[in-house]
Amino acid sequence: MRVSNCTEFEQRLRESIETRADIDVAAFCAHAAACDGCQRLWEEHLLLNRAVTEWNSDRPDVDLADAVLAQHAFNVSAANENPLTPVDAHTVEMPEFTASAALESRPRVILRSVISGSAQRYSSRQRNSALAVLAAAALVLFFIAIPFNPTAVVNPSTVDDRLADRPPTARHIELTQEIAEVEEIGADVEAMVRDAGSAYLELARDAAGVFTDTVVFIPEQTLPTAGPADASDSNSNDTERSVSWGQELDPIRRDVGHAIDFLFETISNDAEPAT
Amino acid sequence: MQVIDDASLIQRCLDGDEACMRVLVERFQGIVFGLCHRMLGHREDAEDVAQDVFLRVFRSLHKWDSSRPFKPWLLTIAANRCRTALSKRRRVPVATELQIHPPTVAAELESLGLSEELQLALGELRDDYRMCFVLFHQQELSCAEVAEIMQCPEGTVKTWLHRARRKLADSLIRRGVVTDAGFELHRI
Repeated sequence: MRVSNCTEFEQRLRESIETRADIDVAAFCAHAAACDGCQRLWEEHLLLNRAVTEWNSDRPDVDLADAVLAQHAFNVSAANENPLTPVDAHTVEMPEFTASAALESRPRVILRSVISGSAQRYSSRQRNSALAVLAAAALVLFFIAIPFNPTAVVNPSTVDDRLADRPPTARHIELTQEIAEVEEIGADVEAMVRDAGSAYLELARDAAGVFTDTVVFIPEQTLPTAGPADASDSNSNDTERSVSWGQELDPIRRDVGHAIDFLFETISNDAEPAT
Repeated sequence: MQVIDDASLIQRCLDGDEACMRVLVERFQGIVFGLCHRMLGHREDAEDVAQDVFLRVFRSLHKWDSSRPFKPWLLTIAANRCRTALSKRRRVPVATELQIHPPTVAAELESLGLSEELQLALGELRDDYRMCFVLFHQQELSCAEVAEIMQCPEGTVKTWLHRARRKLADSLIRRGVVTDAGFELHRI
């Protein structure tokens, strides 16, 4: 089948490589002879095919059966003797019985790890891991218990603020009820005191009014007193002035006395039960 | 011992038959050692890795799915061990011999055949390219089988295969490997 263009040439060449299918050598050579780019691809293809053919024919012989079986038997016996020890802890390469002189020069029995050494190293790592885990746990607890809040540092919250978010306890409820009762009693006492105070003030005011009225309507009566013989002239003048002032108020006193008598009679009449 | 199939042979190995274990090693040591040798490029290292591969096979033989072919499973273990050995080799610096009088290209070409040249160029490839090339061309597996062993998509394997071929061809041409491909072309 004829190859029409370079794209088809390259595509069919790739497919022949991938599928190991036989190709039409004459058609490929015909196209490659007329195209420099495809000629290069074709020459590379032929070169690699020749190289791979020679490369595959050059297969070195080897006999691994004895070495593998000896190593396998050793591993099985080691695992049976110490079942708790992992087989990988001891990777021992047994000598190869059919090895060449060059191979014999290499030591083949190599103990790659010692149990005690690896256990010691593992315990050291374990300690470091435990410390790291403890430190991480402490950090987590710190951030859970005390969440970072810069405003809380600047303005620390009070006990009431902190208790506000918490649910009330039984003791808290009991105290609250007692406080409410005390507040009610206090309000009653305060009202009673306020009433008593106002009553006292009213009584005092009334008493003051009565006293004033009494002073107004019952002026002071100063009776003339007989002075000693050796009294001075000034004292005699005052006594004369007081007698004259008392005499002027006699009609008023009589009128007031009549009014008071009238009032007493009226009250006594009202107090008597009607017949 | 008469020739028995892989499944029966493995079942006897699981029963502890040492003769069958020997037969198993002798039957597959060629492909395992060939892969290790082509991947590592060093015979003694390849023997060590191949021995380790069979020990691991015996240890985990009970995990093999008898409904699937044995060879890809074995080559998967070998490929993984080769990768591990190559990674260890990178971590440990390898002492190289000083060449006071390096041979000329012409002298080197006289001493090296096409097979050695290819192996030399193969050592310059990336590990995944080299693994893909060796599994495809030496073990003669299909692209699907190579993809299963290398645990990657088949398209990736095809890409790696063609890139490996292109790089190997460039390396061979750069080193002046003479081929009569051109003569073959003109002859046709």
